[in-house]
Amino acid sequence: MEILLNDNRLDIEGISPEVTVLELLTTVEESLKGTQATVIEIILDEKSYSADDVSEISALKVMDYQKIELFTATAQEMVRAAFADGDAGLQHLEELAGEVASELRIGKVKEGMDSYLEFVDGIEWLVTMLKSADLAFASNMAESSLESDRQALVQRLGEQMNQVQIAQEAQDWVGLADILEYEFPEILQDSRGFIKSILAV
Amino acid sequence: MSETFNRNLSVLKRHPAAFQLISGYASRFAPEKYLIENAKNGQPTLILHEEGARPLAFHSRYDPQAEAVKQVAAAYDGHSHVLLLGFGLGYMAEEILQQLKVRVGGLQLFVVEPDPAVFVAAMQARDLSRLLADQRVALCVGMSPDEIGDFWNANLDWTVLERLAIIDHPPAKARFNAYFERVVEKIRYLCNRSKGNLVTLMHSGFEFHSNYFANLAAGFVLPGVERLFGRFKNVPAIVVAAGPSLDRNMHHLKEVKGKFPIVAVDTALRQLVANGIRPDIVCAADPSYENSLDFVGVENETDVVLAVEPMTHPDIFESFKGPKMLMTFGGGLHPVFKDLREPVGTLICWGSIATTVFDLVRNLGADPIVFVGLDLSFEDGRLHARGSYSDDMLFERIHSFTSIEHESADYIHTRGRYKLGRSDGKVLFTDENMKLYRDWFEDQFRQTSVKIINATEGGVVDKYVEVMPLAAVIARYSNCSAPVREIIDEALCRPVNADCDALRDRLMHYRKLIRRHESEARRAVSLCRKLLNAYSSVEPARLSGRASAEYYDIMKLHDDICLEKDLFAWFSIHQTKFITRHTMELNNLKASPRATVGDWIKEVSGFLSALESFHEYQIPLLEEAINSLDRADKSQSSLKGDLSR
Repeated sequence: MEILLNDNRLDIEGISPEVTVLELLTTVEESLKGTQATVIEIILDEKSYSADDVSEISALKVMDYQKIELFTATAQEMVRAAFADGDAGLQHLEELAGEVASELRIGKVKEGMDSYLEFVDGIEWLVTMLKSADLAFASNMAESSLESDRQALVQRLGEQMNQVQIAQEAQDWVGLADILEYEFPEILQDSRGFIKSILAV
Repeated sequence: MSETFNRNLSVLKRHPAAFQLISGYASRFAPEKYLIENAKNGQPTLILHEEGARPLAFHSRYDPQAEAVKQVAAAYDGHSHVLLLGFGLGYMAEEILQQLKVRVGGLQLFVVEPDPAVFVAAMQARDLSRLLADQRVALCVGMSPDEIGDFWNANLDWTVLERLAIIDHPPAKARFNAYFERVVEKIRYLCNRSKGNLVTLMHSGFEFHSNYFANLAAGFVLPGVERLFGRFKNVPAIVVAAGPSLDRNMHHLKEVKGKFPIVAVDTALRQLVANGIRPDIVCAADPSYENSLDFVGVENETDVVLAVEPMTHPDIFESFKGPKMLMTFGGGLHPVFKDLREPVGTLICWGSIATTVFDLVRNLGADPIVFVGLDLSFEDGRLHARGSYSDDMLFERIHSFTSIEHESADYIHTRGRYKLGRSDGKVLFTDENMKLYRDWFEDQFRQTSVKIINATEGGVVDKYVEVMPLAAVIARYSNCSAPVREIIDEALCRPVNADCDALRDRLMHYRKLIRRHESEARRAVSLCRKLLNAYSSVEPARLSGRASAEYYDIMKLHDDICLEKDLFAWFSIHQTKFITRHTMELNNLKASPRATVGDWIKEVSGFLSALESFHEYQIPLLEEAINSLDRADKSQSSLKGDLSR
C-alpha cells in the first residue's frame, strides 16, 4: 500500500486493518499544523473524496486501498482557485436567478424554491470569496481602488439578500422574482468585473 | 371616480352582469387597501394591503407587462379558448388576446375575478376599453363557481371549442386557491358533460327524433308530471335505482308503500315487482329497444304510473297498460307543442334515468330524498340488481364454456378501470360513465337545499349526503307520511288540456316548409355546379353581375334554412356529425381572408346534400305523426258518439 501527500511518499507506522481513512486524515492534519495548509482532497484508488466528507471517509478502512493520495492547499491558494473559477460560478448564479424568477412568476413556487436554495448557497460562496480576497490578493488591492469596490459589492449583496429574505418570509413571490430578475444580474455582472480586475492586476 | 374608470365603465356595459356589479360596488371601493403604484417602467401595479396580512404584490414592480408576457408564454400554446383565473390589472388578459391567433367566432377568453375590488382597481388604474370591447372576452366578476359554470354553459359555443388553456394569475391563485380549484372542477365537469352530450347526440340523435314523432299523438294527450310538482312537500321520498345493492334492502320498501312516494328507474321495475313491491311511479326515457325490455313481464302493472319522456322507445308506450304521465327534458318536439297544451313538467336528464328520477322527486317537494340502489359501481361481481335486463343481455352471450358470472366479470374487467376509495376505506371499481354520474349526483346534492340520504348500503356516493341504512331512515321518518295514492290519482284523473287540431295544423305547416326547402335546394344545387365550374378560384367579393346575385342567393338560402328555428334543430339532430363539422368549417372560412367561391360553394353543397338526406328521413315521420293524430281524433269522435248514445 502506498500513501502520498502532494505526490510525496508518506511513511506512517502502526496502520492496522481497523484504521479508517478519517483517522489517517486526522493524523496527517496534525502533522500539518503550523504550515497554514489543510488537506482538501483525498483520492482512494483513483476515486476522489473531499476532506469534508467526514461521514463517508470514517467508514472506509485504509488497508482496503492500494494507493491513497492526499492533497493540501493553503487558504491563500484556495481563494486564488476560487477567483480563477469565479467567472463560471457567477454565470451559473445569474442563470439560477433567472430560473428561480421565471418559476415564481408562473406560480411554480415549489420548483422555484429548489433552485433558490442553490442560489442562496452560491451568494454565500460569493460573499465569502469577496471577504477573503485580501488573503490572496492583499498587494493587488492595496495598489488600486479594488478594496473600495470589494466593500461596495459586499454591502450591495448584503442589502439585496436582506430584501430577498423579507420577500421570502412574506411569501411575496412577485417581489422575490423582481429582485432576482432585476437587481441581482447587475450585482453579479459587477462581481465578474471585480474578479477580472483583481486577477488582471 | 377617475376619468379612466368612467371610460372603462361605459364600455363595460356590454358585459351586463359585470357592469351591474361594478357600478354598484365602485362607491364601496377602498383605495387604501388596493394600492396602485407605478412600477419602475411607469406602468401601474397593484399591492394588496389586507388587515393582519403582509402586503401582496399582484404584478412586477419593475415591468408588469413583460411579466405578463412570460406568464402567458408558459401556459399558452395556440389554444382556441382560455380560462384566465384572476384578472389583476388586466396585463395577462391583454397578452392572451394578443396571442389568441385562432379566431373561431364567439367568446374565447373567459376571465374569472372573484374580488370585485380588484376589478375596480384595474378600471381605475388602466385604460381597459379595448379589452372590454373585444368580442372574444367574457367576464365572470364576483360570481360563485356554480354561477360561472352556468355562465360558461350558456355562453360558450361548444362546437368551436378545440383546446382550452386554463391559465392562473399566480398572486390571485394564491389568494383564492380553493375558489379557483372549485371553478376548474366545475368547468372540467361541464366539458365532460358536453362531450358526453355531443357523443350521445351523434350516436342516438336519430333514435330520439324518430321516437318523438312515433310517440307524439299518444303522448300529447297525457297528463304531465307537473301536476305532481310540489304535492309532496316535506314528505320523505324514495328514489329506487337499479344498482346491485338494491337486493340488500329493497324488502324494507314494503314498510313505506303508500306513505312515502316510491319512484323507480325503469331498470328496477322487474326486480321490485318480483319482490312484491309496486313503486308509485316508474320513469322511462331511454330511446333504445334494449331498454324497452325492462318492461317485459311487467306490462300489466296497473298500480304503477309510468312517467314517460316522448323519446322513449315506442314499444314501451304501446305495451305498458298502466296509467301514464308525460315528462319532458325540454328538447325534441317539446318546444314545438308546448304552447298547445297544459305544462308537461320539465326535468333534467344527465345520461342516466336515475338523474331524472332524482329531479322528479326534487320537484315533488320531497324532503328528505332517500336513495336506494345508487351504487354507481360494480359490487359483488355484478352490474345491476339481480333480474335486470342487463342480466338478460349477458345471458344471451352464455354458452357451454361460460356463465353469467363469467360474463359479468369479463364486463367489469374490461370497463371497470376506475378504482374509487370510500370514506370507510372500502375500494370499489366503476366505469367511466358511472364515475361521471357520481360526479353529477354529488354536484347536484351540493346544490340541493333538501336533505339527501344515501341508503344504498353500498356503492361510491358519499359526498354531500347522509349515509345510513334504509331501516334506520324508515324508523327516523316513520311519522312523516302522505296519502300517496290519493294525490297521484287526483293528478291522473283531471282532463288534459291539449289542442290536437292545432298540433296537426302545425305539423302540416312543417311539411309544407320542408317541401318548399326541397324545391329551393334543388335549384341551388344546380347553381352551385355552375358557379364551381366558372368561378371556383375567385374571391366572392370579386364576383359581379348575375354570378354575384346567384352566389349570394345560395348563401341566403343557406342562412335562411339555418335560421328556421325548429326545422334546423331537427336537421342538426339528424345530421349531428355534419352540422358540427360544418359549423367549424364555416368559422374557418369566415376567418380566412383568401377563401374563394369554390371553398364556400363546396361547403354549402355539402350542406345541401345533408339537407336532402334529412328531408328524405323527415317527411315520412311527419306523415305518420299527422296520420296518428287523425286516427286518434277519429277514435275520440266515435267514443264521444258512443257515449252520447
